Amino acid sequence: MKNASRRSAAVYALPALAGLALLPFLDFRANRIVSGEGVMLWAPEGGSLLGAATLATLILGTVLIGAQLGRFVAALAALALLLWLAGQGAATLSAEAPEFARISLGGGFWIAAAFAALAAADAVARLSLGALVRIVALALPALGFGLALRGGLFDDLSILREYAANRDVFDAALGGHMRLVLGSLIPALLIGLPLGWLCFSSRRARTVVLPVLNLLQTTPSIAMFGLLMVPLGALSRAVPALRDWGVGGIGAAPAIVALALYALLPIVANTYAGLVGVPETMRDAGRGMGMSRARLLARVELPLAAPVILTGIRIVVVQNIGLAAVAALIGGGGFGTLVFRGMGQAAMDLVLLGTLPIVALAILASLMFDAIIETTRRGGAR
Amino acid sequence: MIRVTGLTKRFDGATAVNSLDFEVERGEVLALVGTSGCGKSTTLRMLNRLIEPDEGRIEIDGRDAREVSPDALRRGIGYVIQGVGLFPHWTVAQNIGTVPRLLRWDRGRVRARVEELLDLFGLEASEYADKYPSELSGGQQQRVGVARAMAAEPAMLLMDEPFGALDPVTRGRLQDEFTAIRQRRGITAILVTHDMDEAFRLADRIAVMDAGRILQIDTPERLLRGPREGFVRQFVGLDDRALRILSLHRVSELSRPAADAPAPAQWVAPGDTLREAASRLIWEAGDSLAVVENGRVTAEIHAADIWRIGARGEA
Repeated sequence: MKNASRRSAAVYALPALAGLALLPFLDFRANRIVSGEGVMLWAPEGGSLLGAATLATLILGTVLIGAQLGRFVAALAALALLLWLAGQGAATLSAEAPEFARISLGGGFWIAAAFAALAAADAVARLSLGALVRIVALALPALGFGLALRGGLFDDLSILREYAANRDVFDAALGGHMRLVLGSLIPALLIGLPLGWLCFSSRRARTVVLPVLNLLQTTPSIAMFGLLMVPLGALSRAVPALRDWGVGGIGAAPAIVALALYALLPIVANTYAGLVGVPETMRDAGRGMGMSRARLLARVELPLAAPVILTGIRIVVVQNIGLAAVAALIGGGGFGTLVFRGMGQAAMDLVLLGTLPIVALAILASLMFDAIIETTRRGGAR
Repeated sequence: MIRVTGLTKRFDGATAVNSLDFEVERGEVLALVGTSGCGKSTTLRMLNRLIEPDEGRIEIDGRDAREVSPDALRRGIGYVIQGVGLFPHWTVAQNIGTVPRLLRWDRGRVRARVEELLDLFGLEASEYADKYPSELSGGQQQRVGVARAMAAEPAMLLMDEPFGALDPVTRGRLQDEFTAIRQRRGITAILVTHDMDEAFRLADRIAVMDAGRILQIDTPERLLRGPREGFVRQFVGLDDRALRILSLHRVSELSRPAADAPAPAQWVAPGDTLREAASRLIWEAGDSLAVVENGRVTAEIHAADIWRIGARGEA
């Protein structure tokens, strides 16, 4: 067991070290568009020799330390040092550079950061903490990162330069993204949960509903937006009052409808599977003691099916946080706006500014749902 | 009192239960026995209308079961299901309180009743009330299952293979406990089992069923002494019927006076069955055995008396 966890720690540590050794840590460009020159970690304006040696020691520590808690701390410390060195390096570089110069994070940084994060996640998983403790264990470093961000540690990195230049677009994108995700989740739940119950109680409904939803799920998202433009456009022309609500062929409405449609299959399928998984003896006991059908559903069947249903909702939320990026193509807003604008301007930092919050939101959502699912399992597991 | 007349159920044209008639007196336990598929579980489930009968009439304390809504009917009948069926997401106290809460008893009354029942089944309320079923042993879960069925003081209990999933030792202990609780509280119950020994141990009368019909309904002893030809004879088993008859009687029934003395090496208690006494006598190759209470001989029992009970003849 100990050797197995050491082997997996090595699987994270070696690519991290190799990435730092072979790829630039930072990327220096004279302006936003031109291609840059790499700055290696050990260069004086990169991380300096001392910083590089300390970082390598911490990364090796994730393999050599026996205790999982020690591994977790070493991986987190490596991650923190990576970020700090990047911030410091960017400050050093920009002090001597013209105003339009851009300093972005290099391949070495990204690979090392990704594998250090994986090593930390792996150590946390092996600690087998409860979901709530796990959230706290990850919230504290996240809080530290947030404070460093606020304090201006990373202000000289190009991604934050992009943020500073696009602050109102970013804030609008955050609001738009949340609106897309929640706006599609709520109708999907209102339709999906009863539909899942219907599939469970009627064989005929099941043979119709599930194949249709499967078909919907396999429709490519861009095609779905295109397909929805026609009926929603027609609808807003026929009922002009709807236009005031933002319903039209383009904009947030078709995006929300499409995301809600994609959300239906996991919700319906998991509601159905969760209810089917409730043992027949539970229904027999409940009915035999004189529970009405509604009470049986509310007090016995739904609570016992909750972990499976919530797993479906978790899939939907994480999936739609990602899918919502595509909504920008039809003017639906969200972080996709930044991504597509960045692609249009060949500004990778702007693309990253749109992508990183999407990843962060997805991780946040899945951690939150894991905690909720775990609490619903309490006492329910046999 | 429960009176069933002409009870019939057909599934897809096949008759599962065919025109049953029987009565169960207050305080009586009736066992429905037979092989799987004989219709015994279907019969039980018709009594609380989990299955609606096609024909026939069920009267509970003089009232037609069809006059009451199924849910109200079921709240008045305790139901112990096969495989315990405790709700895993509810504590022991919540499980036992299921029917009282459906009947809208106030919180304090439910709590008091839960504690009373846990006490009756030998489970310390302070320790077990807030545990989840998964934290209990199989025997404890089964006790809670029976306690849950008795919670709202139902007119009768329906029990479907109540002790089926337990190991033989635990099952025996629970059967004894059930008998003891019956003697203290007076339980009216209809019990479904495929285990003839369980029926002999728990029931006042046994109905042997085959292919949807009751072939014979009698007290255990009459069933052993005079089983009908065919299935009943086969199912009841004739090989050890003398011993089974002995196990229905207690030593105290045949005790004769004896002089007070300290307990000898081999003895029986007044509450032991005649079967146990017979086994000891055979082992000792003797003709009499001391009956001992609190370490002193109080009576004696004679082999000849025991053999007479086990011999053929009317009960």
